[in-house]
Amino acid sequence: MKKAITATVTSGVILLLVSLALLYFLIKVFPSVAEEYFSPVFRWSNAGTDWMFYAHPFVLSIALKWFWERYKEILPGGAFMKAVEMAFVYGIVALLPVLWLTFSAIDISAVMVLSWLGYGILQAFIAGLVFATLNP
Amino acid sequence: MICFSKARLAYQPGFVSTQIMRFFLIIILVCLTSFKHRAVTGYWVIERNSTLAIDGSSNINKFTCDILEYVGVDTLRHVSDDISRKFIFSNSHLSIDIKRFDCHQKFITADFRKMLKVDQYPDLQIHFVSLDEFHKEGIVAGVVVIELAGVKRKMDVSYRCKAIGGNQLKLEGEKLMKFSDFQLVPPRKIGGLIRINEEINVHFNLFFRKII
Repeated sequence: MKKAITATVTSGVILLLVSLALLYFLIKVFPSVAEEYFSPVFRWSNAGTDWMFYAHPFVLSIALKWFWERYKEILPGGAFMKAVEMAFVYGIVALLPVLWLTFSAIDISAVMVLSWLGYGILQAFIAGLVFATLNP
Repeated sequence: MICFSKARLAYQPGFVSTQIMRFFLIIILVCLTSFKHRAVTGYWVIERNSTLAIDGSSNINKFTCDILEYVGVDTLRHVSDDISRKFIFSNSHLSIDIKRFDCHQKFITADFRKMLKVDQYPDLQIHFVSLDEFHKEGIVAGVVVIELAGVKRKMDVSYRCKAIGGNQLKLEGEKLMKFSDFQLVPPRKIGGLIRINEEINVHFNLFFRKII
C-alpha cells in the first residue's frame, strides 16, 4: 500500500513538472499555438479554478494507477514496453474520443487538439514508467 | 470767505489738469491691462485620420491594439490668454469606441475588449484639460484625464507638436501606463501560466483643424 501511494504521488509530482516544462516549451518554440490559450473558450485564471489545473497531474496519476493495478499483468514486455502499451491504451481509449468530441463542439484548432493528444500520451508513458519502476 | 473763494479760483486750473491727467492715466492702464489679459476662445475639430495605438505584451509575444481612424465628431473648445499662453480646455473630450480596437490577433482582441469591460463601459474617453504654450514645432506638455472602464486618471502628457498648413495641427505622443492604473486586471489563463503583462505604451497621433 505504501509503495502504491509513493508511486502515485511521485508520478503526480513528475507529471506536474513535465506539464509546466511542456507549457514553457510550447510558449518558446510554438508561440502561435500557445497564443490560442487567450481564446475566450478558455477560462480566465482565478483562485476558484487555478488549483484544479495544478491538481490535474495528481488526478491523472490516481486514475492511471488504478488502471495499472488492474491490467499490469496483461501488459506485455518489460517496464519500458509496459509504459508504452499503457500510454497508447490511454491515448486511444480515453483521449481520442473525448478530444474528437471537444474539437467538434469547441472552437479550438486541430493543432491544439493534437498537442493535447500527444501531451496525454506522454503523460501516461511517464506515469507507466514510474509505476513499473517503483511498484511493478 | 472771500479770501477762500479767491484762493479756490486761483487753484482751479491746476486742479482740472490733474483730474484730466488722472483720467487719461486710468484709460491707458485699462487699455494696457485689457490687452495683456486678452483671452481668446478657439475650437479644434478632431480629424478623421487621428490614430491611437496601445502596445502591450504577454509572456508569449508582443501585440498592438490600434484604432486607425477616428470616426467621432468631437470638437475641443479652448481658451488661451496672452499671459500664461496656456490653452485651457472646457467640455473637450475624445470618445473612442473600444469595440473598434483591433489587436490583429483575434484571441487577444477578444480578451482585450473583455478586460476593458466593453459591455459595461463601451467608450474610452480622453478629456483634455490644458496644453502649454506651443509654437509651430516642438515638444509641448499637457494634462489630460483618461476615463477607462469607469475609472478616471489625471495624467501629464508630452506631445510633439507640428503645424500642418495654415489651420491644421498634429499632436503626437506616447505615455507609459499600467492596467492597474485603471483598476483593470490583465487576463491570465491556464493557472496563470499564460498572461498579459501589466505595462502598456499608448501612442497617439491626433490631427486637429482650427475652425475659429
